[in-house]
Formats: sequence, structure tokens, C-alpha cells
Amino acid sequence: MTTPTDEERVGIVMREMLSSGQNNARPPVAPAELRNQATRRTLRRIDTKVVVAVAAVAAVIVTLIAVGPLRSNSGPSHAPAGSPSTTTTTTAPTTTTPTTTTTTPTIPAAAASQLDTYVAAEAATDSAAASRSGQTQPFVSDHSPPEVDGSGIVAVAAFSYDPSGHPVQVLGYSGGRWSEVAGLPAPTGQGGSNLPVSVVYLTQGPISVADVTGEGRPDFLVMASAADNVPGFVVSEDGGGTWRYIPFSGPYAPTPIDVIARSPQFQGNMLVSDYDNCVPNCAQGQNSTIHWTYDRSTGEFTAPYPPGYPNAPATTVPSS
Amino acid sequence: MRDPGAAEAYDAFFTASWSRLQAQAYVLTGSQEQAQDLTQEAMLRAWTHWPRIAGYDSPEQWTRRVLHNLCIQSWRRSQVRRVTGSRETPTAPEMAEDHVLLAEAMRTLPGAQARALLLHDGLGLTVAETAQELDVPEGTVKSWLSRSRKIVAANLTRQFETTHGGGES
Repeated sequence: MTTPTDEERVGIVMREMLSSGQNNARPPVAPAELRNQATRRTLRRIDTKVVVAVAAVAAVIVTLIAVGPLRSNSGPSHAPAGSPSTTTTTTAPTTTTPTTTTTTPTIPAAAASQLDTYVAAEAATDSAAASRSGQTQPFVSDHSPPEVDGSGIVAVAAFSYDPSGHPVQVLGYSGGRWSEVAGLPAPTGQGGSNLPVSVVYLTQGPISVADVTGEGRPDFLVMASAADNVPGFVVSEDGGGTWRYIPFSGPYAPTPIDVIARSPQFQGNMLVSDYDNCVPNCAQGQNSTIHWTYDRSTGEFTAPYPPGYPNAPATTVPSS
Repeated sequence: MRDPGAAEAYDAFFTASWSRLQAQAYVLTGSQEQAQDLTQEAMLRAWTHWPRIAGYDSPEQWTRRVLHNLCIQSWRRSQVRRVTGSRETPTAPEMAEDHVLLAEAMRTLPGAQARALLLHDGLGLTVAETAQELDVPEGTVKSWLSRSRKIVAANLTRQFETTHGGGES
């Protein structure tokens, strides 16, 4: 008898094992059942992929909103109401370099109703003062919704009359309370010139909010009042903590003024207003829309001559 | 929705190939239970990819490749279990000892070499066919076969001589 080679020995045992394995092989499931299992697994994988994809898209959107790129495309450039940002600065114990972290807490649900209460109380006080001072204009007060501005929650309120000379006020929300953080005198360019700084002509209505400066902060549009139209003015923070009116300037407004006619409004993050060249008269004049651009270098809104502007150079904005 | 003809073709393939495939998994794992599980997984994947592999000359070859890979992956998992002290998959008590030794020896080989040995010495593929299936040159296959046979044969020698009556004439 000869000794089998390695190949023979391995081959013999392996073929025996294959034969044994084949004899004992029994599919535990019918092929139809296995096909169903495969289908269910595929559906589960699709479900998982959908969930993961939706979560990823949501995370990206939230990140973009929080970081900034999406802010300027949909309403106010700041975090939407309900998701304000606060910035805290802490110093790590092992280094002298401060570490800045940003969190996005929620505007308290009570802030809006507390704002209503605060403005109503302020309006009652100012209205009484207006009566005492002999003001004949009907007393009006407006305010914006609570908004996030940098590290705080703010709102803008306007009162027809304020004895302290701050008919337009920026309110801050802190510690569960609203209080005045900045007061502005009456804007320039109101219909009735030479008005005292404590008087502003207002149209009853909410104060609009958008990021029309593109600075990543809320800008507030207050609707004023004039004899034949609804002008308005924009309240904004300059990035350094100073609140101000953004003047209107440029060819159409060679002398910067705070109040612009006619019917300014926020369209997305664009400020537009109506123009009537009043030729031959305002009832029959040419109407067009003025699109205002914020000039960061001057801190003013500017716009070219609107169509039909008397004696304007050839370049005009398109009529819309 | 797949056409009924695809299901029929798959079912026929399933019935014809199952026992051959499970037997190969048995050689690679040394466990009928594990071989059955892995064959089922390979068959399930075959149906998932059926629209593509149905057009192949041999859907069984594709499934075999998947199955062999699954078996070798199971080695790695069992190695992890050994390292972490988890319980090994028990070997069937009725398994012949030379089968146990063969399976043990196969698991000591690199995965590609074990596959080469199974394809050539077990299934009877030629060196060229084995090289094609493993996507390596024929010379590599010959080298692998020679090396792996020595290892497996050494493990079998003692038991082989007992059960098969081997010896000098």
C-alpha cells in the first residue's frame, strides 16, 4: 500500500466532508420565504436610509440657519423667533485663551405676552402724558414681535408721544422682564416738519422685521403716517450696540432723511417703496417701485432715480 | 415588482444549488448549523441581486463566492470571540474527527488560500478555473495549493492513518 500524497489526502477528506455536508444539507426555509425575507430586508434598508437622509438634511438646514447662510433668504437674518442665540465666554482653566461657545436657547413663550403687557402699560402712561401736553393726534403705539439680536432678545416699540423724548424705543428682554435698552428721538423727514423729538406720526399696525441690511441682525420697519400715504422708517443696530434710524440717501433722496414715502415694506430681505412722480398730478402720475440697497460704507439706504423722476439722468430702475 | 419568471428561475436555482453550497460552507466552517445560516444569507443576497446574476453563465458561481467570503468573515468573528473570551460555536458531536481536523486546518489558512484549496481539491476545478474565480494568476494558485496542502495534510496525518489505513507498503 502506498502513502497518499498531501494532495490526495486533503482531497479525500475534503470530498468526504463535502459529500457528508451535502447529504445533511437541508434548506431551513423555502425559496419563496427567502425571497420574502430579502424583500423585507430591502424595505428596512430603504426605511433606514430615508430616516438617515431626512435627519442629515434637517441637521444641515439647522446648521445653515444657525450659522447664517440661510438667514438672509427667508425673513429676518437672525435666528427665527423661538431659537435665539446667546453667546457666552468662558476661560479654560489650563489656558489663558478664552473659548467662545454659542448656544441657541428658545425665546420664552411668555416673552410675547409680557411684551404686549409692557407696551400697553407704557402706552397708557405716554397717552396720558400726551393728553396733558395738549397733543391733538390720536395716540398710537406699535411694537414688533420679540426677536433675537446677537446675544439678546429685543423688540422695537413706537409711541405717538413720549415725554422723555424717546417715542421709538428698543426693548430688551432679560430676567423675565422687558425694559427700554435704547430710546430714539423722532425720526427726521416726517410729514409735519419741525415736530418735537417726542412726537412721531404712526399708523396702527405691527412693526415688520427683516434683515434688509444683510448684516445678520433684525431690522425693524415702523409704519409712520402722512396725509395721503403711509411712509415708514427703519430702526437698526449698527453692530456696535448703537441703535439708530437708517437714513435714506442717494439720487432719489439727495438729503438723507429717516422717513421714506410711499408705503415702504419688507419684501423678503429687500426694502421697497412706491414712487409716484405726480406728473401731471399725483392722481394721474406714473407709479413704480423703488428697490433700496443698503450701502455699508455710508450706513444708508440708496436707490437710483425711479422711472418718471423729473429731470433724472437716463439710468433708472426698471418699473415693476 | 419582479416578473414571476424570475421567481421561478430563482427557486429552481435555489433547489439545485443549496446542498452543494451548504456543503462547501460546512468544509469552511466545520459546523452544519453555521453552514446553513451562511448559505441562507448567501441565497438571500442572490435573490437581492437576481436581476443581475440571473444573466450570468453561473449564478451559483457568484453565490459561491459570496458564501465563501461570508464563511471567511465568520472566522474573523470567531477569532474575535476567542480573544474576548466569548463562547465558541460548538461543533456537532457526531462530526467525524478528520472532518474536525480538516475544518480546523482550513481555518488556519489565509482566506484566499482556503478558498483555493476548496475549489481545486474539493470541487475539482482546474488551476486555471480556480485562478479565474479568485482573480489571481495561476502561478499564485499553484503556490497557494502547495503551501496550504502541507499545512492541512500535517494536521490530518495522524488521524488519516488511523481511519484510512495509510502506511508504507
